[in-house]
Amino acid sequence: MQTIKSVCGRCHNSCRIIATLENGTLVKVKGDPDDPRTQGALCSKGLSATQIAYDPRRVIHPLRRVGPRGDGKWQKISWDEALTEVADKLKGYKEKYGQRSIGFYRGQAAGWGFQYLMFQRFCNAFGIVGGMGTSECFVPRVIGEVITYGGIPLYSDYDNAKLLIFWGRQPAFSGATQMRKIFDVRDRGGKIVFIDTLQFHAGARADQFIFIEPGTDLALALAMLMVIVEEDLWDHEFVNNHTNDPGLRQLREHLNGGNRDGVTYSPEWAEKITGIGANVIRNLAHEYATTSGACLLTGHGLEAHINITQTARAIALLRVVTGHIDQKGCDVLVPPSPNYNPKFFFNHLMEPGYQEPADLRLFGNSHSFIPEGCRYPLLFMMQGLHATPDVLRDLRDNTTKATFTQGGNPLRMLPNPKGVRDAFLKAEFNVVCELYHTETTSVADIVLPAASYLERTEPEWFKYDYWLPVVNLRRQLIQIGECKSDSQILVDLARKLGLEEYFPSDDMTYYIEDLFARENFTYKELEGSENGIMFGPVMYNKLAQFGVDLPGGKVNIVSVILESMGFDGLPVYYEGSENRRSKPELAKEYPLNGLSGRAGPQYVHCQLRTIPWLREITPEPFVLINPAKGQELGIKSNDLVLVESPRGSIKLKAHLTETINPLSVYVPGGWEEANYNVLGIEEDVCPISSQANYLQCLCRVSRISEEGGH
Amino acid sequence: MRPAETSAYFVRFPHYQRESEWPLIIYTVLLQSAVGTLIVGLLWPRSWQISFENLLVTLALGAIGMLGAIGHLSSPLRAPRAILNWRCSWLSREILLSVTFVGMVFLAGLIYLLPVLVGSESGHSALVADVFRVLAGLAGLALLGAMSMSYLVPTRPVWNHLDTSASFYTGAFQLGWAVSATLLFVHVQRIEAAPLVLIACGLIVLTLLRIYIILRVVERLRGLNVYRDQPYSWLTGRIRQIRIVLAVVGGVVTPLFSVAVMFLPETFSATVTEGIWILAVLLLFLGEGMDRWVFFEASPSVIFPPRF
Amino acid sequence: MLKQLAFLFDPTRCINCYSCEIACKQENALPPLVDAQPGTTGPRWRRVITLEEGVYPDARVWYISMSCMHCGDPDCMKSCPSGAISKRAEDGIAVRDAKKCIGCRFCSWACRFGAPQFGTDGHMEKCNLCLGLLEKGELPACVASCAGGAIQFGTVDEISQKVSGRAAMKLAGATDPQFYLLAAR
Repeated sequence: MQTIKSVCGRCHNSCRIIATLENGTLVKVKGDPDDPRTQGALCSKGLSATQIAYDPRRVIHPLRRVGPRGDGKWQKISWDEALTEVADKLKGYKEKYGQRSIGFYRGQAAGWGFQYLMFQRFCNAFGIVGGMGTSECFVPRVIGEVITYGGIPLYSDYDNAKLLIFWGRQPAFSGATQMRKIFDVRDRGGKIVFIDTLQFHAGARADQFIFIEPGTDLALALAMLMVIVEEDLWDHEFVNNHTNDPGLRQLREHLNGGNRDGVTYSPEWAEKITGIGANVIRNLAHEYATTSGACLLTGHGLEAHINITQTARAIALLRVVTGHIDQKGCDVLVPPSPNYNPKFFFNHLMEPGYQEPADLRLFGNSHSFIPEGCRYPLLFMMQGLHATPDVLRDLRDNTTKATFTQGGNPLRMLPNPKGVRDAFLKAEFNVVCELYHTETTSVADIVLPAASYLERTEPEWFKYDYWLPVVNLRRQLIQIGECKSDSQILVDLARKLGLEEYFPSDDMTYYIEDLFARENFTYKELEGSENGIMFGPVMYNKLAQFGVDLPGGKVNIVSVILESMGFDGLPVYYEGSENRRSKPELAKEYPLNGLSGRAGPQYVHCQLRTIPWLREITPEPFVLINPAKGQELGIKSNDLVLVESPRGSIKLKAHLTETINPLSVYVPGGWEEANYNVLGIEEDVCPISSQANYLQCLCRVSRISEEGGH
Repeated sequence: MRPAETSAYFVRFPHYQRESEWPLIIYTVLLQSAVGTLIVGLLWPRSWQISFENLLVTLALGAIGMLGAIGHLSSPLRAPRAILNWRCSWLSREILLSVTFVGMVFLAGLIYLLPVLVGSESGHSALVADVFRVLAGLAGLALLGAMSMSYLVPTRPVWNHLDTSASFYTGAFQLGWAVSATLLFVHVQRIEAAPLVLIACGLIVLTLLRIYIILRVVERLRGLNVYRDQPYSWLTGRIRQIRIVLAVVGGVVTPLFSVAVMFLPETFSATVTEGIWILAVLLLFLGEGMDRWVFFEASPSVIFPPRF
Repeated sequence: MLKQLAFLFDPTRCINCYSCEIACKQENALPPLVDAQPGTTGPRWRRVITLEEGVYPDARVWYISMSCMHCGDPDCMKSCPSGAISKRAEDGIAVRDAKKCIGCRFCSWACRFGAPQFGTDGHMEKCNLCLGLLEKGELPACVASCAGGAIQFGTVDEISQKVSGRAAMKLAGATDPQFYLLAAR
């Protein structure tokens, strides 16, 4: 029997685990009590590792399609044969049609840490630009923060916080292991507030739960700013000395009607839009501004509205005007990763004249390189991936002829699944690296078996919550079939493409060492460390001390970058793409808000539906409906209902719960049998970040039959 | 505070593996009808042959019922262990009484048969046999009580009421009456009007009593909260309707028909009467079986949410 | 000398994440049945239930993680016809003897908390407070992996130390369930 310390990779939170193996078989996984981020807790997904490891449905050999696409018939081939064919085809298309004919796509599952860096190295070496996986989540919010204070406050200082406001964030789904620390804040006398559309899971534990009309978070943020400015609750010292709007002259004017629409962003104005009482807004703003350790934790619940980046901007401004940024007990800017060796990436191959920066972290991409065909430069600058609308455009107009997808299932997870499928079918050659057969592999010509997090060794620094600047080593525990990690696949493919100059070794250790060449620790030291290695401190007050790498060298209350690109320098309220206020005529036929999002604490996107312990908790999706609305529509729990939007309809069972507003219904995302994306919106996107308005639309619900089909 | 019985993230608690309840349906229906048959048989004037047939049928019903009980266990070979906790467990007492009941019936039958078996010329020791029959009857009555107590558990609101006890007892006697009557009409070639009318009226009265109990149960369940959000509420409603129809047809219409036939000389015959009563018994058993199916199938287990 | 062990549950920390259920299933190798018998689950020695009270927007939603209550006067023990259930002398953990169980399921009717579960062999099985782990000085699986730190356990003395400053109520019940709930502040 062997116990090995490793890092979970079932989601992004990278909780430390202790794995037990017996004769090489993984038999148990539990949380590491020495992990300062979890104290030994582990979520239901991580605890199912033994079933994840040996899932019989996994694809474990390279496959080539037999017969037409969609028939689902495959022929087992060797890695050599598979990679040779892929390399020859890709080389052929690139030589004949140029770099835009090749589409290398990312999903969430391949990881945004080391695996993503290897992906970038490959793309630069091969002379192409990757795409997808970035418009949908996180980055559209990040834009709003980075252009305000030059970084992302990934570390919320729970140990010193007295007020936590969770805004569109559900820790039970994506950061459950930090809940002990979060509740400890309350034990020390702090307060926990949730602003959300569903009062469940962690939200049910809030000291104060604020229901908000879906998609109107920007209005709430603007009204809170108004209260803070008008009642003089802002941090004079910080604002006057370290931002580009001393005295808040511009912000005050903007909030008081000096904006493009002439609207005064008062709490009374916001009440009509958000449904939150003006006094509640005032009190919340007061509390946030006057509590000396106050955190604003935002999440995916804010996303998928066309006003997302301006919403993130407004929330960033709340931190700035109160001074609750990078301070004790607040949201702190921390180094998100070790300092990378710029030579690892070969960024200069795509961007001649690339200047190697002294500090290169997180995604490692150059922030000045904008490729051909990119309509969303701000998005691209953050993560180095083409926006999804650009990717789909290139597929639909035949610019992209060959695709290579890793860790994603766009044919289920993007809005307008049929349209996305048609787009992929237009490509002449599709390769998918996957653990399972999915809708996306059904249009593939070659499927390459990818390894799960249990089957690869790599450094891990990426996290979701409580982003301590520490890097740990995820260790390979088992080998399944012929599966290879996404990184290994790219290395082997690169060498087949004749890129040995950039990929001299097929041993991953070489690349890990190359990445950390600039750091003051070696891979060997990381390998030997029980508790990982800190690559930076948690330091407060850096903005005041060191300034910001933004126009003017100060925190941008007025965003110079946005103004220079023709967008609002200060956030102006505008509605989401499809709701009762923006489309009142449509709302007569489709009176309900159809919402979607994560499917529960035991699932990640469309993943893990085959894991028996997790599946038996929720084997099928239920649409959440308020009981008063259910009574009005004659629907009881377990009845089969039809949810229709102007774009399509789905059938699934209903569940009545008081945790949702009567005018909203919630369809959990990622289910093949009832895919919300059939209802959702593809074409309306945030003009800054390209994020589609894909998780809220107008819909109607009607009963099909009682109790599932009689 | 109500439990959200079928929370979206919490499918059908606590219906972990759905085990088939047919063994228990068979056990309860057959053993109850056995008790009823025996006791009705004791109360009616009879000859020893009729008594013996009554005992035989009782034994058959009881033995098949016991097979049902054993079939319900996942370790039937350990079944004898089931009586060990008779000091505390109503189920132990129930099993003990079932064994006693069937055993007494068997002994009574054996005693009746003994003279024939040993070739003795003396008459059948009806008195001794009757003592065992009475003992079996007492055990049977106690058994119905023990069965009721097993189902009076706070975690099953559908069962946890005197209705259950009333259903068991009235069901036992209604079935017992019908079976005994059928045995009588099969055995006797010439049926006289008065006994036939009496027996028919007896079944009608017992059936009306049984239907009254069923309607009380339905009324009570309508008021119970547990059926909200549970599966099968559509099915149990329909099955209960059919079950009442079966009871009416089997226990009221058929005896009335039998009486009517008797007053029509052209149609009346012993065979026809036999046929009508056999039909009645089958319909009544079918109805009681359906009743018991609903009893088990649609009885959600309600855990007690902590009060705080 | 009986030092009865009990669970201490803090409903103000439970977020319905199901860590405890899965940790328990992994520790005790509980077989899932979702593939073999769709619509059912395999044995769940620990179950998180949802309680909703009131109406939107003032609903109160609570999650309670329940396993065996290791009652002082267990109904399961009294109802078991073959005497397969007993309480350990040293710590009061209610255990079952697999060799004596006849699989009649009567205990599952008697238990007010849904603790008895049934494995593929048809015999009763349930939470045993991770006896094996306790013997090695480790925490029960649910306690170790609970995301919110809602589940704790110990003797009555140990529990009274853990709840300093907050009221802990013992769950009311005729069977003397060994389950303490921490009150909301």
